[in-house]
Amino acid sequence: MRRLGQLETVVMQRLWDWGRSVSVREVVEDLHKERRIAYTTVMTVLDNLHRKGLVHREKHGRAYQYHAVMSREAHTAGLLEDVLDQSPDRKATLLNFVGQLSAEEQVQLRAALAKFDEPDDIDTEE
Amino acid sequence: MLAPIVLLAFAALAIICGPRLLLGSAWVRRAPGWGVMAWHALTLSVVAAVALFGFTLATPVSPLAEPIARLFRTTPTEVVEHYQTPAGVWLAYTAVFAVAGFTVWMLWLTISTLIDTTRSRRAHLRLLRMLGRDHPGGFVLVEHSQALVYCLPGLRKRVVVTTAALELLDAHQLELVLAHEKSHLRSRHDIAIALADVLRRTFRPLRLFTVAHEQVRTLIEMQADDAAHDRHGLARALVTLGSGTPEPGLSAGDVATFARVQRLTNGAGPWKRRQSFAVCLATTTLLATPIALATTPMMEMIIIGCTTVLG
Repeated sequence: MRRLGQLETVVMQRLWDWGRSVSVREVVEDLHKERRIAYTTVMTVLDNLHRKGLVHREKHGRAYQYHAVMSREAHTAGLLEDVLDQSPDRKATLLNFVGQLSAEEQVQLRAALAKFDEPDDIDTEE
Repeated sequence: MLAPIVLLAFAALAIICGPRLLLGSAWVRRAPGWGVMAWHALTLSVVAAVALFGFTLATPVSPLAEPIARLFRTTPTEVVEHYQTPAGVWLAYTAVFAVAGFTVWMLWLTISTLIDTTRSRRAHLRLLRMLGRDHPGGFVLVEHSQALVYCLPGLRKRVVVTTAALELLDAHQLELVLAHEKSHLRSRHDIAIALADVLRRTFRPLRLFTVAHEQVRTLIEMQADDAAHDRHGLARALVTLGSGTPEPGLSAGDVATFARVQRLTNGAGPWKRRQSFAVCLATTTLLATPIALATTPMMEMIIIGCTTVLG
């Protein structure tokens, strides 16, 4: 099961890199450059990805052609949405180091940091 | 009769005065770990008072009378007599249902929060496995134009850094930020937040619990800040990352950041063992008070009993 999960990652990476529709055979051939893998395994992996809504498929002749539903960037943006959520009702899924500061806060905080840094500089200038 | 009244009075006092007291105390931010404990003790003492308010009202008609009688070496009839209210049996039955309903409600919220958090963490991890790659620095690197550092607590804990954040921070700052995140994971800060979150959702109309949740969130950040060995460097990293991505849509500022930077640049005052002891004593007293108040009818009985014997 765990191995299948890892394979899903590998296959998704390929699909994102290609950015077009590919057949199972193409994926298998590309994977063969790195590892021995059965055609049916790849088909299962693509089927799983389809069931999870990560890839889209269309019938071309007798075989399916697969392509990623969303780009890698769109997925990343979705992933980081959880992190950027600053509403008071946000879930406690994760802990963000720091939220986005407003322009005003940035100016004030930079001034506070500068004030702390400066005394030495002034001494050396005088 | 006496017990429910004093318990309610205690809860009201804690709800009104508690937050003011803690928000006004400088030591809470000086020692944020103790601060988190104080906030939790405050909220839990209110929960205990409310629960015991229900229990004391329900005592005359519940199986509770017997164990209480055994504890105080008296008869259940005597116990019922002391916990009876002039309102009669119907109030006691209402209390039984209220206590039962409330317990179920809180259990449900706890379980659903737990399931919800676990599920979204798992979904996040699954995506992370596809989108990120392990960095030798001990974190997961995700390619993105927004500068972010965060951690995913739980059994399969992770620290995540975006490529933009990696570019913005120098090696020293990165080390400090990672120390902050690892402190979150090590201290299981997510549990402290989850507790505050469940209580906030159970007692939504009471502002105390919303304030407590907010304060716990801020205080655990401060506690994690203390894990970094260079406070000023971490303050700089905070401001750098906080102003990392100019996104017009994200204007909702992070209030806590302001306090955190000030705290880091101003330096920490002394903290003595005596103070830890005082906080420990105060929180224990706070938590023990509702229990003591709930037994007032029995105390009353003992005192009256003693005076009759002596008289």
